Amino acid sequence: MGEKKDVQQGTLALMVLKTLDVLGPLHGYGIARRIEQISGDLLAVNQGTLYPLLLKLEQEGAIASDWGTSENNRKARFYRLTRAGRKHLQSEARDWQQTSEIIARFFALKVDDLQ
Amino acid sequence: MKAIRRIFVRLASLLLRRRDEERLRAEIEEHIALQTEEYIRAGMSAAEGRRQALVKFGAAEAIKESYRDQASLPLMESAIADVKYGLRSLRHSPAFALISITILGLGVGANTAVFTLADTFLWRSLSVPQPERLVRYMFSSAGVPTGLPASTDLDFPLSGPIFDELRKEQRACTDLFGWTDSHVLWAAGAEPETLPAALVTGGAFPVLGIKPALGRLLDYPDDRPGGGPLGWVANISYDFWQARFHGDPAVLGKTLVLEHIPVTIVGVLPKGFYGVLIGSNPRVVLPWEFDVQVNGAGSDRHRNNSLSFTVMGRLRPGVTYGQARADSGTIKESVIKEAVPAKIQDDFFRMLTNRLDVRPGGTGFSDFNRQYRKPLLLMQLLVLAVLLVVGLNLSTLFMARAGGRRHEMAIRAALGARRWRLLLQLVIEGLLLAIPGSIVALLVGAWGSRVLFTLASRQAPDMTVDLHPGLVVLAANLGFALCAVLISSCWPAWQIRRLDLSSAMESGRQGHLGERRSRFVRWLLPAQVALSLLLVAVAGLFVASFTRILVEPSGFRPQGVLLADTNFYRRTENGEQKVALYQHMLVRLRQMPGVEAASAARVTLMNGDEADEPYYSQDAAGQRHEDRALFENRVAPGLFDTLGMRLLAGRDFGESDSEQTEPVCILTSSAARFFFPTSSALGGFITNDNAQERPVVHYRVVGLVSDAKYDTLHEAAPRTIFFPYTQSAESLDSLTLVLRGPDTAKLAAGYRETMHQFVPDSPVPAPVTLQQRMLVSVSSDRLFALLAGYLGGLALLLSCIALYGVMSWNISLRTAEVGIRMALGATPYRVVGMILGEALVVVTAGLLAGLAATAGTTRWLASFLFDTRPLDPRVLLAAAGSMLAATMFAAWLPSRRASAIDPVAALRAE
Repeated sequence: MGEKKDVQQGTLALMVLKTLDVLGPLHGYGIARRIEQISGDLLAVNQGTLYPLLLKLEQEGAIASDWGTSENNRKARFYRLTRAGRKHLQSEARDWQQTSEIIARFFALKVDDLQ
Repeated sequence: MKAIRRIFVRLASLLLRRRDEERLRAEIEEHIALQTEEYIRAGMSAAEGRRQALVKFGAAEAIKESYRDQASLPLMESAIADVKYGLRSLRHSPAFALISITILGLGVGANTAVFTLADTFLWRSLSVPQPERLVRYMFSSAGVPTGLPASTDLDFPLSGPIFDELRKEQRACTDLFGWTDSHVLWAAGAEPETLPAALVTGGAFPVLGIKPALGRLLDYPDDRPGGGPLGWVANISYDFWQARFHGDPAVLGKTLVLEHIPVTIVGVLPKGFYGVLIGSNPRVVLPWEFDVQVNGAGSDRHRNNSLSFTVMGRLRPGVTYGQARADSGTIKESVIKEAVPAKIQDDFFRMLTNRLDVRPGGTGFSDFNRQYRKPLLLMQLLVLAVLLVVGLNLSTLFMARAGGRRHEMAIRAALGARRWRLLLQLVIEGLLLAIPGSIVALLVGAWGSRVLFTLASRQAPDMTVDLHPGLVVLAANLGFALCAVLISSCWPAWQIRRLDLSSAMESGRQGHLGERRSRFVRWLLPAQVALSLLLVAVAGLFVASFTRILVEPSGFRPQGVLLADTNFYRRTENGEQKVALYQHMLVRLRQMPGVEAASAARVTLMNGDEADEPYYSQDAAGQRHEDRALFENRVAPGLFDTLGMRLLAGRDFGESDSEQTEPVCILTSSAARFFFPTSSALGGFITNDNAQERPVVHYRVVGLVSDAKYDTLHEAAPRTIFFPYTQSAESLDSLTLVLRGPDTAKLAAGYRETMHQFVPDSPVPAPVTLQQRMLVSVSSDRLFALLAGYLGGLALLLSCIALYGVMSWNISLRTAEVGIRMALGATPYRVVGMILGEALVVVTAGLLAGLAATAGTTRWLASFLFDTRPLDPRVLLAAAGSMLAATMFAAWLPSRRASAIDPVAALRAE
């Protein structure tokens, strides 16, 4: 396990969206824990930085929030993906797919391929 | 898109002030609690778990800050905070705010008013397509000695025959047209009405290229003898159409009876088009041949001695303005040779210059324009100078105020504020002043142009001009206002760059003892004083020159004199009968109650009308004296008495002077001295030049009268010759009735009654008093004097205000110093003396510079002003004295405050 890498806000946003897409509505703490789990603790995310990001996503209309009850019967704010958010996620996923394919091709390059 | 949406949401949250704070706090608490629980479950103690959770979460305060930044627009928030702070600090120094706004409002407002006037008269283009391709042909006498004052830049319109010839020979334009103002009698209903009209040649509207609002515009076939194919046709103006025909489209084809001739309306001029003569408002436009039909040989169309054709043309594509000028230069000789009878060609070549000139025609032509172009330009320079003063004033004020804020700026900079942030605050505070100032300026400007224009109109009732501040003027003014304020208010932030923060903070609000203002600021005050002095001096010169005009004796006694310009052109009586008519009317008038004296004259006085002809004499020694432009007038008996001119020798005209008796004349004393320098003029003979193919007549001089002004107050009383109206070679169609009496209202009533009695079917022109007319003839001078006075007073006021502001602020900063001095034994008297002394040095420096500048400038001004010695010491002394007094007063008030300082309190305040 190497050093935990810092992650950029843009990719963090994607992670949030995908998490919500897969796991349904979650509260802030839940999203943070899930991201940590999924990334296998490889990423260092100051959990607090999530909240400004959630606000930004909400301002953009990718997610929506509502009050709800958490597992231990406490009042918590739950976030869910909106239709616009889902569309954004899908297009971003396509872009990432394309990018990684291109990068993969470059990394598979050998000298004779270009002769 | 997302970004825009975000901005709106953030704006909304800013405005609605949602309490997200609460929500965030709750969420964070919740999050940390959950994380703590997990750590506890993993085996940590409660305290340890919480600590770890907090560490994992990150710096809560920083997160909250970051959240807040996301939630709303931090820039807006801080801007709003700045505005509130600015308003608060302005409320603490209301004088400063009021002063700044006043300075800005008055200064820029004056500028707007004058620029609007100048813009309208000098630069606003005619509402025609491509006005910059229009050129105007005229005779110009610029630069040629004609014996007239140097300031007169004479531009003459052309004559009909010259226009025809020019049209044939010129090559620069597609075509030329002629335009002139006129009047027509309209048999509208019960009362016949006189309508302002315009006479144009056939090519006017085709060359101008405008489109009618209705119907069609006059064209070449309409301008033929006898009218076009449908007879006589005319166009009416848009306003006339709306006012008298209620905008009814059925006006097309309607017939108006003008000058007893039926004329068909074929079109309506476009809205906002008043012709090419700025200031005119012709209700109806007729072809020039119509005038020939009405007036026959009396029409100007084919006469050479009447210069009334304003000639304009449109340049051919590709031809430049310079080429047109060159073209006119080459053809001028042949045009005059062809168009003008040989006998009077000399006059044209001699009196008018060797230049058939071409000027840009896009702004139309106006009497006001040609006479007052230079003074208007000068006025604009003055206004620009005032603007400069305004700018300087504002800068001084702001910088003085800024001096006290260095402390504050230093602290904020030390706390981490970046320079642009401080600048933003200063900019906002500057805007808080600039915006009300601009509003005031706009109001002053709008009101001011109205006032100025009312004063400016010479032909008062009929002068129509589209007077609204052009967008350019408005934008320029507001731009200037904003720039001035912003630059001035941002200066302190600039200084911070070089600031040694710690020393600035230490020095405290009061500033170091003996601290000197920066060099730049030290120059500002004297520069401002100098410029203001220049303005005040120039203003004083204008006012002095105008007063001189009014005070100078005109040669008459204008009180109680009424003038009525009657006009019998259209009457059917012949010449002799008309003379008899006038004679009967005069007899009747003299009988009326309230009429002390009544007479008549051909040339109405003080109206700008000139009639001059060449005459010569042979004096007792056989010497011939010739005056090629002797002013003349044909008058009824008793005119001199009525006007208040004195009969110096000989006799007045009387009933005995008629067509059958010997031709006689009366000379003014200057004319008599000219024609008969060595002997008495009485009994001598004046002969007319037979140039215009008139019979040569020798007039015996039978009387001498005192000199009097003729057409304008601006010029000295010219040499004048008078003839009895009964001995006139040409028929007398219009005489001005001149009445004298103690009550001009009674005179007017008597005049109206007489007119109704003798000529009930002629229009009765409104009478006007001689005093009114004289005032009107100098109304433009009044305007300039007023403007100049206003500007000078403004400059004075501004300087005083600014000086007051600067000094009082400075003194408040020096409270500690004053306190120490007084504690050390200085009396209040000495303190006041010290402060006043410093002010005196500054002001004197400024005054000296100002005097030097004035001396240099006014030399050049002399050409504009009537008979003023430019370095008139009285005016300069008055200006300098008033400035000195005013500024000393402005400095005295704050210094008195300083002397009242309690030394102990002052020292404690540090």
